[in-house]
Amino acid sequence: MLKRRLTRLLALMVLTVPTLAACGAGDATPTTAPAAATATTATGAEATATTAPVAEATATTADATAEATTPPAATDGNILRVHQVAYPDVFDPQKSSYSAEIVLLSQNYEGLTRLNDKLETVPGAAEKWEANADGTVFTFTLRPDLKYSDGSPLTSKNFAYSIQRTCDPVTAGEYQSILFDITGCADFAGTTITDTAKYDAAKAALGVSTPDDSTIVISTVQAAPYLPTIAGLWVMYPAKQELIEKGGENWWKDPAAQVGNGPFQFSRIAEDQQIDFVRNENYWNKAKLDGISMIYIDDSSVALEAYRTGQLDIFAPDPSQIPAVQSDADLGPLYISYPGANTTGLQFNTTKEPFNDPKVREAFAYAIDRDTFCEVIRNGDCLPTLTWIPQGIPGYDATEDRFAFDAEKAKAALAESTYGSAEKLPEITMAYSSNDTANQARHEFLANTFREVLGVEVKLQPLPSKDLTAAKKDNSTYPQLSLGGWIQDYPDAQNWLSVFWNSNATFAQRQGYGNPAVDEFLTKADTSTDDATRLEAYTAAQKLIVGDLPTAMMYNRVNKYVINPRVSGFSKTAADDQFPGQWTSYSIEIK
Amino acid sequence: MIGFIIRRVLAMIPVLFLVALITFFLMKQAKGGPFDQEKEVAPSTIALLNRKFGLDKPAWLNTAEFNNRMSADGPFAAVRGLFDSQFGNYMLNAVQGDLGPTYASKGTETVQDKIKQTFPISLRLGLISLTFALVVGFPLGILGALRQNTIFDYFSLIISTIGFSVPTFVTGLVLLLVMSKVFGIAPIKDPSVWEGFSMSYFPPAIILGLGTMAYITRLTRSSVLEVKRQDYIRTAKAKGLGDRVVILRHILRNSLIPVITILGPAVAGLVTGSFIIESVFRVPGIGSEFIGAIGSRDYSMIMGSTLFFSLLVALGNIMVDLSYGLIDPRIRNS
Repeated sequence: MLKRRLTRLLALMVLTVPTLAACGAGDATPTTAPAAATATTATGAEATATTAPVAEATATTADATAEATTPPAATDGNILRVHQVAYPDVFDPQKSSYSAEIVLLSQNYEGLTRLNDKLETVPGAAEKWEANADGTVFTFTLRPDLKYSDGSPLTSKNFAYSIQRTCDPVTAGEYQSILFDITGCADFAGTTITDTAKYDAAKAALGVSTPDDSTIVISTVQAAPYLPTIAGLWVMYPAKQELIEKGGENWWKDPAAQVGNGPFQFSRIAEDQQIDFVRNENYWNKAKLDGISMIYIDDSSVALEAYRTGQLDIFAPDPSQIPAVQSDADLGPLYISYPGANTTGLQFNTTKEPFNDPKVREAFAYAIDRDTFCEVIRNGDCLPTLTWIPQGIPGYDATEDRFAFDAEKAKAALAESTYGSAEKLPEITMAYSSNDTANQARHEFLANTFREVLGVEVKLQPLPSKDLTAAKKDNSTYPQLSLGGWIQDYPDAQNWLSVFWNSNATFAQRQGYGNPAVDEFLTKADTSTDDATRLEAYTAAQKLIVGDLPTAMMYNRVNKYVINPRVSGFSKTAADDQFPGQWTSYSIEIK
Repeated sequence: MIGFIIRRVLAMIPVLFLVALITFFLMKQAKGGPFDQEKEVAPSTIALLNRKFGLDKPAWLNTAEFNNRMSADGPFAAVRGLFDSQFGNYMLNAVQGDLGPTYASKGTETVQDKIKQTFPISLRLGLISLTFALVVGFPLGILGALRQNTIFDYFSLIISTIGFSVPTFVTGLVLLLVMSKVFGIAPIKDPSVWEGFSMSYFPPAIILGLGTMAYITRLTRSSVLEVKRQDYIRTAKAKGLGDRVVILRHILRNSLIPVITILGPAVAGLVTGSFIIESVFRVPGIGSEFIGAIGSRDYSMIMGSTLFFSLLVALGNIMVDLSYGLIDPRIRNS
C-alpha cells in the first residue's frame, strides 16, 4: 500500500525552506514509492520542516518546567486516541491506496481473511477456505450468521460485489490491478464503459460466484497460493452496494453509509480534524476498547504538546524529534521502535555506464556505512539491512551477510572492475527528491562516503518529487544512482519478489534488471501450493537478487511511537505504519 | 456609481480568463500528472482514470474532433468539437459553476464542494484577523506619527517589526505552547468549535493578522506624517481649530487612502488562510487545500483555487475603489 503523499511537504518547503533549509526534516520521500512512502513516520516529515527547531525547544522547555511527569491519564474512558499526521484523501475501500486511508477501513471492515499479530493470514469473515488441487479455485465459507454493525445480514454476495466493484472500469480504483489474478478482472477493467454489451459480458464473466449466502468461489487465471491473503485486503472489504449507490460519489464521507463488519464502526467523520469509531457490537470477536479516535495533527510539535497534556494515547514522533524524545526522562521509556514493512536501497541503473559493470555496483555496495547512516544521519529512524524482505515478514533471510560495509573490499572491487580505478569512471549522478529538505544531508553523506572510500566524485541532482518519479518510469531516463525500494502491500514473499523483481515486472525493467534463474524460482514459488516449497524457492530467488546487486540493500525504516502506559494488549508487527497493533486492534485494552 | 460597478465587474471577466489561461499553461509545463504515484498505479488503471476525467483529450484544441464533426455535423458542431479539450471543457464547466473533480479524492469530491466546506471557516478566521489588524495597527501607527520619535513611536516600531519579521510558524507555536503550558489550554479542540464563531478562532486569527497589522502600522504612520506637513493642516491650525478636530477631521481622513489601498489584496490574502497557521492550530480551512494541490498535480484544484483567489482579489479591489469615493470627495467627483 502507498504511504503518505508529499504534497503538503512540498507546500511547506515552498513556504519555509528559505529559513529552515539547514534544519533537517523528517522522513523523506525520496524517490519512488517505498522510500517515499513512509508511513506515519513520513508524515512527520512535513511537520518537521516547519517545526523541527521549535520542536527541540519544546522538549527542553518541558524538561525545564519539569512538572510534566508522566502524561496525565485521559478522562474520556475507554477510547484509544491515536495521533495521525495527514488527513486521508479518500476512504472508499475500492478506491483507497494510502496507508492512512487503509488503517481506517481496516477498523471499519473485515475481509474474508485477516492478518494476525504475526502477519499470518487467518480466518476473518470466512471461517475456512480451500483450494482445488492446482490452486486455481478457492472456496471460502463465511462464518455463520454474520451481521453488519447495523444488524443487517452479511452474505457472500456482499464480498462478490466488492470484487466486482474493484474490477469495474467505472470505479477505476488505483489498486484494481491487485485483483488481476482473478479470472476476468483484467478484462473487465479493460472494457470501454460506453460499450454496454461488452461491459455487461465482461462483468458476467468475472470468476466469482456465490452458490449460497455463505459460500463464495473465486477462480484465478493461474495458480495463486497467496489469494487468501489478497482476500483480506481493503479492496475486498464488503461496503454495502445499496448505500454506495444511494450516496453517490462521496458516499464514503458519511458514517451512516459506511456500515461495516469490522471490529469498530465509523461514528463521526470531522474532516481534517478527527475520525471517531465506536465498537461494533455485532463483530464476531468483540473488541475490548469502547472506541478509537484518530486525531489528525500534521505539526509534530503540536502533537508532542498534545501528548504531554494527555490528549493522545499514541504519538508518532517525527524523525527529527527522536533524539529529544529518547533523551526525555518521561517520554524516553515510553518510546518504542521496530522495523517496518519497507526496504530502501541504493538503486542502480544496470544498463547505464558504469553500473552495467557488476564490480562497480559491488564497490558501491561495500562502501555504504549503513549503521552510521541510520543512527546518525537518520536519527535512528531506520535499521540497516543487507537483504530485501524485512525482518518480521515471511521470507526474511536472516543469514544474508554479503556486501556489508567494508572499505577494503570496496576498493578491491573497483580495482577489479573493467574501469580499474576511480579516475577512469564516467561521470556519476545521484538523483533525489528535493521535496524533503532532510534529503540533502542524507545524500551528501552518501556522496561523501563514495569520495572517501572509493575516491569517486558523485554529482548530486535534487529534483522535484514528481520529476524524479517521471524520470524513474523508464530505463532510458532512470538515474544512475538513487535511493528507492518497496513498501509492502501484503505480507507474502510474492508481493516482495515477483511483483518487483520478476523480469516482466515494471520495477525490475526500469532498473534494467532481469535474471532468468530468478524468474524460474519465482514462477515455481508463485504457483506452488506447498508452503515449504514456496518459501524455499523464494529464498533462493532472493539470494540471487541480492547477489546480482540491481540495488544495494540499505535499510528498513522503523515504526516508532510513544505510547501511554495505560494502553496494553497491542501487538507489534512490521506492517504497523499507522499505530502499533493496528491490524489486531480488537485486542487493545486501556487500563 | 452603478455604471462604475458594472464596468468594473465586466472588466473582471477578461482578467479571470487570462489568469485561467496562464495558470493552465504553467500547470501543463510541470512534469507528472495527478495519478503518478511514487508507487506506480497499473498503466491500464491510469488510462481508465485519464479517460474518466477527460485527461486523455488534447490540452488546448481538439483538432481531430473538429475534423470529425466538420465532415459529419457541420461547422457549428465542429467548433464545439474543437473546444472539446481539457482547457475548453474546464472553462465551459467553470462558467456554469462546476470547477471539476478533485483528483486527490479520485474524483469523489468537487472543487466547489471543497471551497464551500472550507471557505466559511477561513472567512471567519480572516475577518477576525482583519479586525485585529485594523484595531491594533491603525491606532499604533497614528500614535507613532503624532508622537514621532518618542517612546510611543519606538514602541509602535518594535511591535510592527516583530509582527512583520517573525515567521508565523514561530509566533504560532510560541502562542500555542504558552497557552498550553501557562494557561492550560490544550492544543486539541473538538472539531465542532469551527462550526460557528468561537473563542478558538482568536489565537490563529491574531497570528494570521500579525503581518497585516504591522504593515498597516507602518503605512499609517508614514501616511499621517506626510499629511501632517500639508499646507491645509497648517491652515486648519492657523484658523484656530483644536487639535482633536484637526486630527480627526483632517489628518486621519486624508491619511486613510494608502491604508485602504492595501486592504483589497490584504483581505483576499487573509480570508484564504495560511497553510502553516492551519497546521499549527488545526484549523480545517482552505489554505492547505490551495497549497497541497500543486505538489499533487491536482489540476482542477489548482485552477479552481487560483480562479477563486483571483476573484477575491478583484472583488477586494472594486471595494477599495468604491471606498475611495466615500473618503475623498475629489475622487468621487472626478
